[in-house]
Amino acid sequence: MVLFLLLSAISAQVGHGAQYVDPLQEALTTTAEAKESATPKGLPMQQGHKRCVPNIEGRPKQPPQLVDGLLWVPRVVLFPLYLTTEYLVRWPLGILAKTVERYKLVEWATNFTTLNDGDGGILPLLRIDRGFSPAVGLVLYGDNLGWPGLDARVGADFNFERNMTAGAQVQYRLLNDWVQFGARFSLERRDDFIFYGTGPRTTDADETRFFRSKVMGLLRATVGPTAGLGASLSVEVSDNNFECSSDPRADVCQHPLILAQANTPTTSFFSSGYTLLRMKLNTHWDSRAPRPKPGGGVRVDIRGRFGKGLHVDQQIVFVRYGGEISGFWDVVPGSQRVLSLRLLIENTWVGSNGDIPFAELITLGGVETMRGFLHARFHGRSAVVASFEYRYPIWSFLDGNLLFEVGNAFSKNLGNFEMGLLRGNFGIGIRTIASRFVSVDLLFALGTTTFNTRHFKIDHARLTLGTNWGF
Amino acid sequence: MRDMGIVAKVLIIAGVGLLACALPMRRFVDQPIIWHDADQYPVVAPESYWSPLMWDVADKTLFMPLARSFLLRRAGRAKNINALGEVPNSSWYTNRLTVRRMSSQEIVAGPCSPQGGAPSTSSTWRALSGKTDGANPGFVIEDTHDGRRYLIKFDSARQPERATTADVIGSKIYWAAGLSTPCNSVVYFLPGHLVVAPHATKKDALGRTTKLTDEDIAQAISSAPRTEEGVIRASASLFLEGKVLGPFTYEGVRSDDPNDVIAHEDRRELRGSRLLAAWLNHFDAREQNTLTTFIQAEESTLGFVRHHIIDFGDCLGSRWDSDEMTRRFGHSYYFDMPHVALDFLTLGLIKRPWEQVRIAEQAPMFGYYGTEAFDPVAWKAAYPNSAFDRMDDQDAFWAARIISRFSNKTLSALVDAAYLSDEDARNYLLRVLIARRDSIVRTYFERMSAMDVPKIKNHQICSSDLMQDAGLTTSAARKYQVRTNGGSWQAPTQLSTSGFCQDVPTQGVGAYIIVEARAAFKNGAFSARPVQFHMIDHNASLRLIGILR
Repeated sequence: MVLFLLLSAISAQVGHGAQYVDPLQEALTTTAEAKESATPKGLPMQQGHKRCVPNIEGRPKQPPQLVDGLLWVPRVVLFPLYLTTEYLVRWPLGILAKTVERYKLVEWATNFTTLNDGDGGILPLLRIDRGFSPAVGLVLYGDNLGWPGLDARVGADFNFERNMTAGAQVQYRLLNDWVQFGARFSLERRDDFIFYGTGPRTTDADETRFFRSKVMGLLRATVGPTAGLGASLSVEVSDNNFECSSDPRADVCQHPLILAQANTPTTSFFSSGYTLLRMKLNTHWDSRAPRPKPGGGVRVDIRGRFGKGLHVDQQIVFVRYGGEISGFWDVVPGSQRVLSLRLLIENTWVGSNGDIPFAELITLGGVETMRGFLHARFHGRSAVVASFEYRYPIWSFLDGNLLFEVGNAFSKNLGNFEMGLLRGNFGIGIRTIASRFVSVDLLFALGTTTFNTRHFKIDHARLTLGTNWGF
Repeated sequence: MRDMGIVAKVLIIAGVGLLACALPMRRFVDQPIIWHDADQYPVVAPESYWSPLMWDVADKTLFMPLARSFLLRRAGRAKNINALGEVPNSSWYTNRLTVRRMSSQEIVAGPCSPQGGAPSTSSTWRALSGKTDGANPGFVIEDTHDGRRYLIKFDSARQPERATTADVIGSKIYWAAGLSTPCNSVVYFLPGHLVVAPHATKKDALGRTTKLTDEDIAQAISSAPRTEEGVIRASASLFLEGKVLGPFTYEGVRSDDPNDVIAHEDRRELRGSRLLAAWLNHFDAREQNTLTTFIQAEESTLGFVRHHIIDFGDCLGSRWDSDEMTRRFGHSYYFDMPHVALDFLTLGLIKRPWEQVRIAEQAPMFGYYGTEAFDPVAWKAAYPNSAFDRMDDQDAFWAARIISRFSNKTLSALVDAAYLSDEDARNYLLRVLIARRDSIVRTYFERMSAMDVPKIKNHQICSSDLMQDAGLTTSAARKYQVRTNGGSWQAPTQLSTSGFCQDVPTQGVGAYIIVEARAAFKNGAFSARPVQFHMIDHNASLRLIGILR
């Protein structure tokens, strides 16, 4: 017992004098060694061989867990999807993308098409237009041609459905682009115009498709930016001719139907065509500031169009006028969650001895108004649309948007306007945010019958892709 | 009798089983802790790797996650950690702040040699090559004084002094944390100081090599901010040693490097560097901002590959033309499908952190680099990074412990090394660095019991509280519990000035002992995960053979 106590005491004394061992101190020695000899160490390794994976942690290999075994069931099931996405998609796409990037093929192509200086060049054009009908073409452009601000464009595109456009324009910009003068000549031949008759009661059964050929010359002056106060004035002369569509969706040429159901002289120009002088005046005022400033504000657009037939035997005289007022409220200022309301009203005055061709009537439907319906689905002497939209940020380059609109086309001075004759449409989609005034929209929209119909229903569904101005 | 035999066998097996349960599970073997991963065997130089920029973004954002999702891989623990959970020295990593205290002077000197790391302003700099177009022009220069080569880069007019500050502070912080970085310094020079070398070249946008001219230099430096005296500020990055082999990737291994056997996404230093990136908002932490060099042995063609992190110019609040995009840096990927889809479907009703960020009035040069919406757990690089994505709590704790060791004094010295001309901006940057550091450290130290690697004397182990070491709490506000070999939780034998000491009774030579410890605030519950110290009883003293967190 005495011996035990003696040993314990000695042990305690020894222990008391001992230093704490810090396991991290060992690392310092190794670090110092590594610092001193930052050169290759050990025997050379042969190419193609790998060194063994070291067990640095020094723990025995853990036995596999049950979940590791069970995971093989879905892995086997999903294996074809893995093979497809990895080897049929990712690998070939990777090789292609890396080749393009490594050899700067995009830069070379851009350099080639812009003739090496960016102020002029030739660009391929792919246009996806109404009904997602793709057209391909070329645009030759030149900026600052011999004079600062003097630009020119020549281009043409076509598809295999009798659609073709070609045009040339010159433009002169001055005062930091604040004032622009331009002239344009164009030829358009399109086979995909639709006409369901005029007024609010048209039905899908009345569908007519027609071909239109239009040759046009135009002079235009623009003052002011898209934000703030601005105006543009243009004078245009055009020659318009029509034929039945070759579109297989239009089973028969429905020219007689156009004549019959419209029951006005309006459609008489279908067979004769017409030559028109048209003057357009657009003014706008927009108080919204560009992002990232809050998106609240007001926009007012006022539009007027005067049309006069240039053939003695065609008594065409009309004035289309109207506008829209929009209010935007950034719900939490700066958050870019914007609620907006728009009211659009347009009307047409026709001279006492005059007429208006059906193709010059007010139209609704398409990318900008009544988006649940085809472009120019509604024709009339007057039109009214009320729109409610909520847009909200979803990405650095995109907003989401919800849209609800009611509206329709009516006879002159909204003569046969009834609330029950309005149609509704609802859309949800995305839009680009680069500008508050112009956006590329992708929208899925549903359109309804008129509200007073006994069997009120959603009778249109559309996916639209296009450029939207203003609202 | 036969039945009795079976009963006896069952009883014996059950008894052994119970005994096994009562004894601590031997997770570690009694061997020295490995502090060196021998990945520097002499090998033939691997092929140079070219990294695609656009494809890397598209692949990591869309294609790779889609394809790999069908493999249902489980992210495991880091593969290159030693028994203490530390990263051994290798061609990737050198233990610095992990294992010792470093002075502010040492950290500020960083990877620069004692001779300094900036080109001499008393000698002429010869521009050898350059990238003169684009948003970030730069030159490779040679200091005629000593022949050393540097990459010179400038600040943008929109954010004067930011990029150069970021390059200097970022490189030194990463270096002190243990990674290899170039020696970056802020330099000032007059335009005439930089002359074109006779055979200097530049690459244009099409990759064509043409002659570098005086006009190119004049054009490139024309937009660089200058002092009132016309002096230009730039960052000078000293060329790294060895032959350049291109970037390393954040996933997989290099097939033609025999030393490279641990998948990069399983390297703790790369996983944990996510927190370094979060601290500095190094959102551009992608493979193109890494570099490998081949270190050749003397008189031999053989050598090994060394791995570096380079280019920190995006840190500390880089602003791009798109404000919508800039706000999202650190919070969302360039294209973050879950964010986009959720915001679309919820009609934008979720308030996002990037809506809360503000540009500080006293330091607009630092853009949205601030503290308002900083969340170290949710932080994201500009696009998915395989190593960052696999960071687990252990990796994060490892990195947080390193970050906690950058003292306020050291950070102040680092900021001073950037020579900011505006005192308000300097103070703002220091405040933000400190606040973000504390946010990271607090977050991960509260998730795990933040007890340091214990020191051992005979049969007493003493562990300091990292939370106290970091200055985030005091001993009066902390409490600890300890248990041995799965026994009941008890207060430790004694409290030390920053932590506790525990006497561990001897259990015989060779006994395997696990001491678990947990820490909490006095007014809170012991919710953090306990840390396990695995030891072997060597009679006279204990020997630490492993730590599990």
